[in-house]
Amino acid sequence: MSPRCSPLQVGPLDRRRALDFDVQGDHTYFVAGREGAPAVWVHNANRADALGLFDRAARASGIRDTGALVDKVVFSRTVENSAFDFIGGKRVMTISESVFNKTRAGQLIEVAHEFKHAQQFERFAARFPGTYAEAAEEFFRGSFAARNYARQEVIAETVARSRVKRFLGGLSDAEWARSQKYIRKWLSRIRGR
Amino acid sequence: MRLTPTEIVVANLRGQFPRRLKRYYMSKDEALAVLRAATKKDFGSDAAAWRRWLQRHDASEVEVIRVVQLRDSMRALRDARPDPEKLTAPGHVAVWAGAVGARALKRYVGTGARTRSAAPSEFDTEFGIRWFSEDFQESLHFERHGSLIELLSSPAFEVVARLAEAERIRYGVEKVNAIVLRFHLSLPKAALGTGSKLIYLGSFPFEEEPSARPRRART
Repeated sequence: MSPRCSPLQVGPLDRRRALDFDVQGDHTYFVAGREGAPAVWVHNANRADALGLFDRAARASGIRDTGALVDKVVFSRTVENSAFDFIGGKRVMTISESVFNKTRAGQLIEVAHEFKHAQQFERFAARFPGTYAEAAEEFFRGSFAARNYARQEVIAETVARSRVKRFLGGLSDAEWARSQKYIRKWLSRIRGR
Repeated sequence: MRLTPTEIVVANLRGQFPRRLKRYYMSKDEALAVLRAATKKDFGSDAAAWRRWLQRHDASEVEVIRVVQLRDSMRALRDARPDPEKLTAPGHVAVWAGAVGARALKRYVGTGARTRSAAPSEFDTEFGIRWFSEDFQESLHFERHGSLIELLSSPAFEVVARLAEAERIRYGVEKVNAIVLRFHLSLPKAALGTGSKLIYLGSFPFEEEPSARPRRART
């Protein structure tokens, strides 16, 4: 299967952009992306693994310009779960090191899931009548018990697993069942049972 | 975030989320209160025990969401401020004036909280979550609107919250324990005790045409 976009271009340390980040600890180093790729902040982890996973998930998701969706990628051992969020005016994708405890497909689904959230946000912001910051506030408003959040989760997981299935040429029954269970739990919120 | 609702609450029990992640963050006490209310179990702050139990009981997922949803609704109610524009809209005022008796409000809103409320004190809201979730199970409102959760998450609830807040200010009450639906006027007296501060709401302003003529209050 031919890749749908070029691999992530990793450039030399960009100190101008690095100033935006609060570097924590001795083992943190910073890699700035070129050609629109987001900056990647690697925290005491295997940089190649992190970048590779990010790149593969982007390719699986058919995303050519990751910089258009994410401003900053944080790969960290201290965070237990991957997430997409809007922090300090930046779209931040956090990739937890725990993702590498999963199967290859599981890793891809998790990051592709966050990519889908990034796409949901971009689509929402593009249609939002207010400013970008207001759109972010509206998008991330409410708690995880809100119906809209459940809807976002169901869509993100459904799309992510389909993309990964297409990218890998298939998914194991166990992986599919795991994903199905996740979707079912959030669907119960939407359906109220 | 690729976590189920119970996983999010258990993660909060371990203090995993920073406060800035408003969507997910709960204090440890609050997470524990949610789990207790949703499961009727108590494993204390042992996150592993909670996780083991929750993994065996899939149905608890819905209950956890319900309790968190109630918490959110109560917070929205607590934080709601009256919007003069909405309050003066003819439909809303008519429904409000017609369905709620001023005498009932005066009688119940004005009482001091001398006795213990039925509202669980672990929540940082002043409303009776346990009472809502248990005593309304058999209510007419559930039959009519599916569930109280749907009711509280509906846009109409925002209107109700504003109305309630306006009444709270009007009667000079600092905090309110519960909002009572009209169908159950006899219920909360026993459920909440005599010292609770209540606001009685009548029929909610949806699915019904607002009545121009004020209805007689049922006390």
